[in-house]
Amino acid sequence: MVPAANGSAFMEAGKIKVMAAVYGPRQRPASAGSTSSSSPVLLCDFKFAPFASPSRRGYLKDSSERAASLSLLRALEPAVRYEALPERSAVDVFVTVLEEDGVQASVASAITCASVALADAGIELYDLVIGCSAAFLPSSPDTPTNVLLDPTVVESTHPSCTGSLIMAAMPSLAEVAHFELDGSVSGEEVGESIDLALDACASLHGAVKAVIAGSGSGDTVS
Amino acid sequence: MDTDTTSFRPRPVIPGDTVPIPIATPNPSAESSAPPPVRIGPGLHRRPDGSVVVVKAGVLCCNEAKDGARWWVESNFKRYVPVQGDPVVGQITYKSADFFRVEIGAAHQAQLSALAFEGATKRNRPPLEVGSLVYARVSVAHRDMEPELECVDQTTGRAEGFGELKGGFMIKCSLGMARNLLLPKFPLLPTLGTRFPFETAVGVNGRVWISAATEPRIAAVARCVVLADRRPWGQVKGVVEGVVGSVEGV
Repeated sequence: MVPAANGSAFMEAGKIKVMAAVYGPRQRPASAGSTSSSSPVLLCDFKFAPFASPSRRGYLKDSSERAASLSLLRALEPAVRYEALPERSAVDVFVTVLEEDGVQASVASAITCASVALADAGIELYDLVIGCSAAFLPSSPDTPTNVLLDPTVVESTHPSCTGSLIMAAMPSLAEVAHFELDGSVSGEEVGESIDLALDACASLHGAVKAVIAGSGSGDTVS
Repeated sequence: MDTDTTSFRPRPVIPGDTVPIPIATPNPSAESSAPPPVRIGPGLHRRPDGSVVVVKAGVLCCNEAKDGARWWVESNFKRYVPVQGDPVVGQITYKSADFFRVEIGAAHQAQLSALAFEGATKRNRPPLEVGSLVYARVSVAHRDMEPELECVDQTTGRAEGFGELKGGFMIKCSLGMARNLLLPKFPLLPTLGTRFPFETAVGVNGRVWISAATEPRIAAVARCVVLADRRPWGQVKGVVEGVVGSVEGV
């Protein structure tokens, strides 16, 4: 996908199109002080392309992209085998969203795409990290809230949407790597959404696995 | 699931897959009481609870031998991890009185001592400059240290084919392609060799140095290596014929 990168992947989920490139492990530029630890480091970079949304985004990262970079790092870290990386090295993960359909769904797809790119680069992983998103929407003001998986931008920004979540799971290990919830949601709704999101991650894991096993290189998931 | 290693067929795996490696139980009627050891190779990791999990995407392979089974994941990546004894092609990036720093495409640059050449003494240093290409062997490779190279065989004191690569052109390829090029049976270089003479130095770090009498010939060899990368062996001869037919002056 990206010839210059050590590993790369491209993913389409509905309207969302995400591209991830992984460089490394490569030498981390020596910082000024010797206080920086010598252990290997994972650096994640998340960016919406300026043309990704209906209204143009700037080419500098805004606060939501910086927050998404942190979510990406938290999601990928539990899966990476740091013992296999050399000392004082860095693995750079660059994710670019070419077309978005809601921030939460884009970040969830970015997590999946980044872990496939890490596998393509040969970085040792305990498991693939699969991302999934959901929004809490009542179909009318009096009915109980529905949990909608993979919400579109219309659904996640709807005035009656009470909350949204991003879940990153490692299906083979049956562990959750990262979970963030935003909004005003009851305890039962959270429990129901977690079960649905874990099932969604498991089925997406099967689809991703079929693609990687079928292709030799340049993984494309759609 | 019953796992019978005699009927094992290589299968693609991704990180997170568990491998049903049979832990042999001692058979009282067998000749030796100790079960044959099972060796876990690259791409596999043994968890504290004893189960074995795949950590690198690739094809799971198993080799049954009398002294125990060997399991590993065969994969093809671009990033090189130095291993002692590997022949590599590198480029000098820094020169000092005692050593050179060489870029070999690994996580760290490698060190090449100025004395690790045939016939080198403190007064007689190899005439390498920044930007020169060398063919060297990895003498020290450890996770926590910079790798070290040598251009001389320590036991004989001779270069054994290592040293500066003058002229020519270096290209990058995947690690699997570099390993294939070093196999005598791989048809790419022998097929080209029947057309015109040329010289190559293949580094297992995914770098190939090519030298020939004319530039179109160097370009033809480079194109063949790039096009045949990640293609099945059966297509390689066709690729070579296509490139040689289309390059002028070959």
